[in-house]
Amino acid sequence: MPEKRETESQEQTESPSNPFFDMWNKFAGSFKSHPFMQMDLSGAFPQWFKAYDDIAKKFYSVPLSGVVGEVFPKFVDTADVYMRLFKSWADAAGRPNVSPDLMKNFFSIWSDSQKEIFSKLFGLPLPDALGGNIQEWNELIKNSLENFSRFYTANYQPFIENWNKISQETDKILREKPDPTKYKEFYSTLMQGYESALGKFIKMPMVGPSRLLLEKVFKSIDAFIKYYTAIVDFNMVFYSPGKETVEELARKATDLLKGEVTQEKYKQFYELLIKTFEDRFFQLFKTPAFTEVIRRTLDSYLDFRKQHFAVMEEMLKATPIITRTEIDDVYQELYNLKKRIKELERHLKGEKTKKDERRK
Amino acid sequence: MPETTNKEKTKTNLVKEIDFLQKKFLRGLEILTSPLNTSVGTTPSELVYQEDKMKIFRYVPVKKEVNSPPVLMVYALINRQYMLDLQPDRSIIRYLVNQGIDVYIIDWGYPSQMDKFITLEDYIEGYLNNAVEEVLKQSGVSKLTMAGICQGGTFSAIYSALHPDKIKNLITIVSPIDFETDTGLLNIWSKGLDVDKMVDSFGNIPGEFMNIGFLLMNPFRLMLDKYVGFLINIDDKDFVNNFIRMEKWIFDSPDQAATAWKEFLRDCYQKNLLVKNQLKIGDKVVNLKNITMPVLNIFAEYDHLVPPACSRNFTDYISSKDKEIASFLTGHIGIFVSSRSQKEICPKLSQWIIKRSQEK
Repeated sequence: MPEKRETESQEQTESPSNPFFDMWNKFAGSFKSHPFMQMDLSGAFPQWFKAYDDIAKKFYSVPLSGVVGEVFPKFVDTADVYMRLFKSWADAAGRPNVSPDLMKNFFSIWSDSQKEIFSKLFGLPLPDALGGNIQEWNELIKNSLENFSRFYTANYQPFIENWNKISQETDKILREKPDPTKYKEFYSTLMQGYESALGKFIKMPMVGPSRLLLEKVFKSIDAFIKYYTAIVDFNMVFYSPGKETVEELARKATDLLKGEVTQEKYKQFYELLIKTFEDRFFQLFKTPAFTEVIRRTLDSYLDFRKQHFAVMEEMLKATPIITRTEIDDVYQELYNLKKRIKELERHLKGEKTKKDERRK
Repeated sequence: MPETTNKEKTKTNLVKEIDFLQKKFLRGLEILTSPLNTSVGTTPSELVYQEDKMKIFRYVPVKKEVNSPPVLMVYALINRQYMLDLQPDRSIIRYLVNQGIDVYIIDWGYPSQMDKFITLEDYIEGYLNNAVEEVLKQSGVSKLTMAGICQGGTFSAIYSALHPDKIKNLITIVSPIDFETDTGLLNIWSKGLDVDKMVDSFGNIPGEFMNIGFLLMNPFRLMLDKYVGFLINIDDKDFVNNFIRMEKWIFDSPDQAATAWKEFLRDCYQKNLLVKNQLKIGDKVVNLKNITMPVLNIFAEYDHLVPPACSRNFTDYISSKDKEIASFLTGHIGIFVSSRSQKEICPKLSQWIIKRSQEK
């Protein structure tokens, strides 16, 4: 039965290219080309079981019986159904121009497989209420696939496109002469891609019992990506001044290193090197641009650190280890108590002095 | 000279240099693996008071009669007070004690996360005030000379403005008072810091973090040239001893109590409230005009941590009639350990103190 459906699916008219199915196609294609998939394993599990059963009977003279004898062959049969189903999926998805119609047929095979597994495991046909009208199920699956396709194209596709752009830029950067503006563009593209696609998912609100933890985990991922980009910006600031300083040093040192190079000359060169770099970077460090980049880097580091610790605290809650927030409460209380004791001691001392003076 | 001859001579010079460095390095290794004398803070002293992590030490007088009133040295919260007694032959403390001056010093200790709620008010109106009270009680006088170093000088100025009745003389050494300047990198960079976020993320500000900031101010000198200098002098045992002492001090950096650090950065570095007479310590407003006692303000012309613009004008903001500014051609650290320190700075300091001790 499933084999027949597979043949039918191959006869489907191929649809125009679609980003979602292209992605699926690549994914399934990678399975299809795996050596494991080249092996014909249909019927392999039941055959293996039969052989094992024969050996057991001859060697131990005890046939499989009872619960094991009943249940184990059923599991082997269902494994065989899954093997066939998996092969069908890889075949259906791993061809050019996969469409919702094509995939619909695959899901028909899947539906039949479930019925077969259910009846083999429990010896009962799948109730109509659960099996439903296959036609309706197939339509539902087809619609779902179309919906997914639209969502993918709108949300995930920009990230893939951006990723392609990033790959091209990386390739360009590696081939061409070092250029800080190119690096900057590269990380700006990376950040845009993140913000336009993946970042949206990371920032979306969570629900359910694990909501708090998940939100913290995703916030820390988001903060890390921003921190990483800030570090790149920070490093970039040093590139041009570094290059200019080396050029300046080369100009200044030309005369110095002419003729015989003595120990004294080398010392002068070293002092020149340190002085040139020191002066140039001191100028850089004083600029508002550097102050801004240092502020941004530190800010993003602190954000990441805060989010990261928030996740760790959530994890620690499940252990008998005290968290920083909890110990901070203790410290705050200790601080307040200490302060109060000191005030009381001062007050008592004052009262004692007054009393002593009255006695005099 | 023909080029071949130059090349040959350069080659000969290079071989000589390598041989020279090799011998020097091996001699250096012998020194580094032999017993070294790198003790710091060796002038004899005794613990006379302790409150939480703060300790007060009194240096053991070498003369039968000591000058009165005593001098209370107030060091910064950043790094450790033994900078004033780093090496026996260049110790400001030893010099003053040998002159018959009665010297007390505050050791602020190493704040832990338990101390993160300590405020500037706790430091100045609490610990510092108690230290003053204790020294006055022990020495049987009603006023003392307060000598503040770096941030300790800022604290001393604040304290003197709040309690002029307890301070006979005030000395500030390389102390930031006017924070509004674009000549110091710390002043420039700190403007952009989100101090709330920093203490929120770090709690106490790690000493290592502060060190990174200090090193970044002059990376080529502090991270490269300094160690090249060490290698060049590695065969000189005295140099090695003093270098190791200095390394000990530089990276002996206590964490900064979060709340006090935040208040200091925000109110002084970012808002420059002290010279505007708007700084509040608890519910008291600090008015520098309340400073009427004799003042000696010492600063270093090449100070890159507290540029002269931050410290030079302190005496403009106070009401004292007896006020003196003394500048020296050295850097922030050079004030304490350079050759000028013993030849010029210590004599100036002790003469000023002794003269004002004799006045009624």
